[in-house]
Amino acid sequence: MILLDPPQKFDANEWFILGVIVFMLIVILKLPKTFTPLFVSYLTVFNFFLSTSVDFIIAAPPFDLYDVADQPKHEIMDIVIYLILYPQSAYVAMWIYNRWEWRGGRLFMFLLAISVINVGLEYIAILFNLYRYKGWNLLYSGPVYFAVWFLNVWLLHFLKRTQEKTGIPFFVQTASRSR
Amino acid sequence: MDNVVGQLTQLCLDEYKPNSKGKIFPKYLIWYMVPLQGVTLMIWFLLMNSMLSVISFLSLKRMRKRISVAEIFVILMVSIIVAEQAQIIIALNLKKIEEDMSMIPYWTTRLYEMGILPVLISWNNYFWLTMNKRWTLKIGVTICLTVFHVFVIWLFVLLGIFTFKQWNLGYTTVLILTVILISLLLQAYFRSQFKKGESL
Repeated sequence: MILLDPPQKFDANEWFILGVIVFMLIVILKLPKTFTPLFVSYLTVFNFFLSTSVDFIIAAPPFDLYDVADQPKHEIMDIVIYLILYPQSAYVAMWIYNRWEWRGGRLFMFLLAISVINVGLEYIAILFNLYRYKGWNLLYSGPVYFAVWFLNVWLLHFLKRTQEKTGIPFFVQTASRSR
Repeated sequence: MDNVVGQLTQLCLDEYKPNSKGKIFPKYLIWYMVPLQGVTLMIWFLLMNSMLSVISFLSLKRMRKRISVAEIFVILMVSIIVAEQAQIIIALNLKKIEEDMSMIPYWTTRLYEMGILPVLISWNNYFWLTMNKRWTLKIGVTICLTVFHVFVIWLFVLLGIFTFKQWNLGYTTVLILTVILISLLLQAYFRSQFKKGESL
């Protein structure tokens, strides 16, 4: 009895996932340290929660609008995507946002830009057969990404307020500044 | 008024497809005990479930006396993730439970799994992580949660929402205890990190 199936065939989509993960890891390691391990854990849980909840509702029956990776079933690569790839993207996006902290129109433009980039990346992922649409459309993904990034920005501000109130360290720089 | 209820019931009857045995509703005693039709009962069940979900979420406010909102939030997310993953693996991958995918049963299940159950697991985690040495209370809460979950699943089977395939309530008990344990371990990690931060 296998709880989570391995990939049916280790081909283009698996290599694509691993390639992007390695690339993102290099980018993250090059970025100056702004977030503590606790923030990274929190961000990982938050994005795992968002992605798995959305996929659980719209990618599984009865809606079943798309498949991720090789098969309709839940497989190991799905968990790799939820647990590593999405949180990595969130890390980079939140690092950029935290560096400049745009407000109002600029924040909107940032969310829009990052959503457009995500739609572009999803298009490339489709070429690598990572997603197979069964009623979904690439254009629908735009508003979903916008909402996801908006929620991530909200989370960042929420954790900043928590750090100010309780002292729980989520941000390296803010903590050192306050001392 | 009767006409509206009749139309609504018919609408739901159209939605509620017969199961593989060709029966629309399982012929259990419950249908004869209550003066309601099966689908109307299902709607009531859905409404009750929604109401309980809202009350459950509101109940989280009480936790704020002892732990921060950020921690409550992470307890809830961890509980939802673990509950969802368990359901996906059991129903979708292993096909041990067949779920009725008509809209009312489907959303009833989702509301329970993503609403009531995670909040109950969160409360269980809260008791285990904040009540030092009160073992009777901790074990009592876990037993109550397990019994409640098994009762709900039994009710789902009775209503025809779930059909067991090589599955039984014994496995459900083991599964919910595993889910509780995983959720508790993940929560313990966050708790230790939060406490470390608070003590700085």
